[in-house]
Amino acid sequence: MTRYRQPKRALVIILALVLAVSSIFPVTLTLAAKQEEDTRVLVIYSSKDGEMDEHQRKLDMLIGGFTKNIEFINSHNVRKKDLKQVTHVFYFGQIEEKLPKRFITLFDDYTGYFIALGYNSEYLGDAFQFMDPLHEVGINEIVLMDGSEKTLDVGPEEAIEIELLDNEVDVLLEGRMVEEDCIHPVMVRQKKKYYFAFDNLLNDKDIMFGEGLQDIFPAQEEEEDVNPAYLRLEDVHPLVDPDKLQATADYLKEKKIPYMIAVIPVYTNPVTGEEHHFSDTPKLLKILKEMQKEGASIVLHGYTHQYRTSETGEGFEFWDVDNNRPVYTSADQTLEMKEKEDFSSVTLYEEYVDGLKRFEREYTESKIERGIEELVNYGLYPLAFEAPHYTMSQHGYQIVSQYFSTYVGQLQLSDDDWELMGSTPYITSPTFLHGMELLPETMGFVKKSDSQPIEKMIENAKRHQLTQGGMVAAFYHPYLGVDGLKELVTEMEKLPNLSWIDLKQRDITVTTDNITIATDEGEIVTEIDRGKLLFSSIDFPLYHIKQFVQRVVWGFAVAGGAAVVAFTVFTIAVNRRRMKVGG
Amino acid sequence: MGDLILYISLFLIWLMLFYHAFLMLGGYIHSINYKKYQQKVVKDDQDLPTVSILIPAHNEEVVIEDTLLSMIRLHYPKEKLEVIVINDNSSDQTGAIIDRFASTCTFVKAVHTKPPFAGKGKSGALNQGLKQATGEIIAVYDADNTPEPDAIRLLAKALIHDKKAGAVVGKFRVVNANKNLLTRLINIETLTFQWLAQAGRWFWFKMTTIPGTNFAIRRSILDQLGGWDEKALSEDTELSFRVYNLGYYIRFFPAAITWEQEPENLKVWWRQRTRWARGNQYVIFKYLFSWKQLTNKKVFLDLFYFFFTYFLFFGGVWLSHLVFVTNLFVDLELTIGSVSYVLLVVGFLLFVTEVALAISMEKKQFTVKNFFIILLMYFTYSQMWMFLVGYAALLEIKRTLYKQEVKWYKTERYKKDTNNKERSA
Repeated sequence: MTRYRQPKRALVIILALVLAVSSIFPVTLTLAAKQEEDTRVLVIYSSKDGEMDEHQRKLDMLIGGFTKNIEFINSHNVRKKDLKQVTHVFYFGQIEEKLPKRFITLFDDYTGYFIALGYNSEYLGDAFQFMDPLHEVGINEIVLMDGSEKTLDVGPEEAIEIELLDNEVDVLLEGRMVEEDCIHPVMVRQKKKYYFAFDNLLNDKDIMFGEGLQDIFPAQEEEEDVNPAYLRLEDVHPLVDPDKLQATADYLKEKKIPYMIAVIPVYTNPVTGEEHHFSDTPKLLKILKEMQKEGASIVLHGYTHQYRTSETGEGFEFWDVDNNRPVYTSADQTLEMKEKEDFSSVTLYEEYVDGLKRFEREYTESKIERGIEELVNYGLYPLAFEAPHYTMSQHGYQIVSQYFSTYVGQLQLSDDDWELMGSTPYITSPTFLHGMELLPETMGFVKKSDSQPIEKMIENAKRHQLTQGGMVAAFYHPYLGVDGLKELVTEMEKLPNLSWIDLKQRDITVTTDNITIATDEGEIVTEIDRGKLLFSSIDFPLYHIKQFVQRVVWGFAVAGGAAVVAFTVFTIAVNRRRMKVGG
Repeated sequence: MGDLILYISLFLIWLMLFYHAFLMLGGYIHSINYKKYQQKVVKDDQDLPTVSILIPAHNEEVVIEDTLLSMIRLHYPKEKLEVIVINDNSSDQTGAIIDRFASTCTFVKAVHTKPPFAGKGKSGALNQGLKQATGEIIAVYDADNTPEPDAIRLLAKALIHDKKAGAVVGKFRVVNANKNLLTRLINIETLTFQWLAQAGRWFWFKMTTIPGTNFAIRRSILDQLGGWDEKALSEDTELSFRVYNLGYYIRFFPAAITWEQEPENLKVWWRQRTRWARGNQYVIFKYLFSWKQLTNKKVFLDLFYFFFTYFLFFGGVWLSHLVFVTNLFVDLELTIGSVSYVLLVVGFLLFVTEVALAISMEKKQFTVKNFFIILLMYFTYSQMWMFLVGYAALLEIKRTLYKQEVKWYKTERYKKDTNNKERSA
């Protein structure tokens, strides 16, 4: 929102009117904002190398569903002053370590919520004296103890067995080893103190922990028990079969389901390197525009969805997958990464790293800007971003956040390995998205190679529905044909409490130097500096000229047809007159 | 790139097609209007002016007799009429035939040109005739023409009735139209040319091109202009331009009719039409580079029309053919889509309906047979023009590059297939 430019006067008036007329809207808005302001979260963590890694980011995603005020501090750096005004302290003991001595008194004056995960809870002063961590035990089920007995199967997981030393401890989650008939409390509460007995949030444990967090962060608004849902048509590039896309669009229109289209503006032929843009496939473009009009929202899915010589839709664009690292060099070059030891000073190394990041920034910025502007030039307005294969470095997310307020899909959680990626059960704004809101994809996609892909997907959805506001989100490749989608939608609709997300109904802003796209009560409001946009690339005016020419040429056909009709009438008239005269 | 070329050619072609449709509309309205004008002209009881008819003849022994007989049949007071036949250096019996007529009919005069004033082409012959002419009005017929009896009377009366007209142009019909397929095609072409281009241009812009035969012009104008320009390659277009320059217009008056013969085989057709095309291309270039001489800016319209026809339109058609053929072998990734087929069909229908309307203006021309010939014409006759214009342009380029002397060959004669008409179409 901060980058939102001053709208035109007419727009201001309309907005003002809308705000004035709807009296409820501003009230709830300010209420929610106030509550969020009041919440301050401090996460103290113990990790392998002292840096934040995928585990902390997983936690970040879970807390991000409740507040944006989150600060992460390593256990070795935390001081008493860091607790000032903090309402929620998390301690994430991802590894076993002896915490510094200051921890004994660190929390003495702290009265807010205190949530500990994993190891080292015994070092947190006397906060967790109500329990005693023992050794690890295996469990394969987690059960919600709110009376619903909702159960989540998990692969055999190791939990930290705890002995409860206080009678006033509530068990929120129970871990069970079904075959052995063993029961262990895995999330407990004593007043404002919570303990989660796992050293990680992987393998869907985040779903249950997320549900546990509902108890910690009181709901800002009384919400109905709904599960937001979305469908995303994936990898729609200029060479997609328009008929199949049309069939998909027709079906979803008939079902009145708002949906997203992950659009890739350029298809790059992996063999010839030839580029195809939507301007080359006007029929497809027309369908896309119609879809946008009929309730679809466009999601920018990279610019080419490839890097080096890979194929669009197959390749990674913002991750150098061959080297499993961020994109630090142009496609035609190879780069041997240097280590810290290769430099004589830290400054030189930092300069080197800065240079690499500068390249990544320029590369990413140019692709995203071009992607947004190219689509806008066609009249397609992207409302969110989704990185190809969900892969992107942490730096990449920061860059994307300059342009987009909404991110769709899953997130890469580590800069060391793209395969460390994950989703989260509900809509969230983790700190590492720098203000962007994530609409997580939780179900996967219809995989041709799977024997029963939809069954698997629905199973995933059901797991996520265990938590309040648990997301039910899937994607589908239109090239598979509409039948698979029909099957998927039919199954999804059987799920309870589904509420389809319409991106246009959310508070969204997309900005480049020349463009601002915003949503306003279900409408897309754009502010485009046409002049600058058209001057930024010859392709942009060319497209419009071509459009105009096409229209003129159709005009020729219509005018020509009219002339044909006129001359036919004249010919008949002349000949009839002559027959009457008898000539 | 393929797209760009295709669109350029489409724009060129369709601008031309629309201009033609526009002209056809004017021609249609004029076909209704001129009859009223004809009534007015006929009722005008001013004294008939004296008329001199000039007929240049170079080796025309096979046709000149018929021509002179038709002159005798003209409904015009013989005391006010003189027919001057210019025997231009003929080596056949032309001179003798003319002399025979001159000796029996007082209003027929024979002029025999002798070197160095002989064989200088049509313009030279006309100027020789003009020297002998005494009429207030000068009319011109080609040696193969047989005007209808009222033709001269209508031309002369139209001219004295309309003070702003420098010349009045009548209509010509094809006498051998039913001879073979080629003459049928030419017949349809000439009718379309006259009703579309001549009548249409007259209706909208008060412009007509003198076709070289069956027209009447004021003597005063010819005197002022110094007669025909003997250096001019296509003296009719040239004369038309100069008449406009004086501030007159040239009226198209289809009531005055003459009949003429058209080529009956392709070889003659090709030669004759190549000459027209080259002549017109020459005129375009001449005036394009000396346009300041044109004081009547209306002429630009015609000049531009010629330029468009001979270079841009045919260029456009050539380009689109090229794109079409290339696309058969190499994928040009054309994005034009279905509209190209629509345009193809509409373009064809436009051609058919325009031509059908044009021939409907004449009695007994819009027949089932002719309708099918029109359909055929699009794919045959029209395409032949494509090659002809290209060929003519090549010859002109060659001539300019090698600075060749212009040498205009007279059309070959086949029995009655005599033809020496110059017109622009």
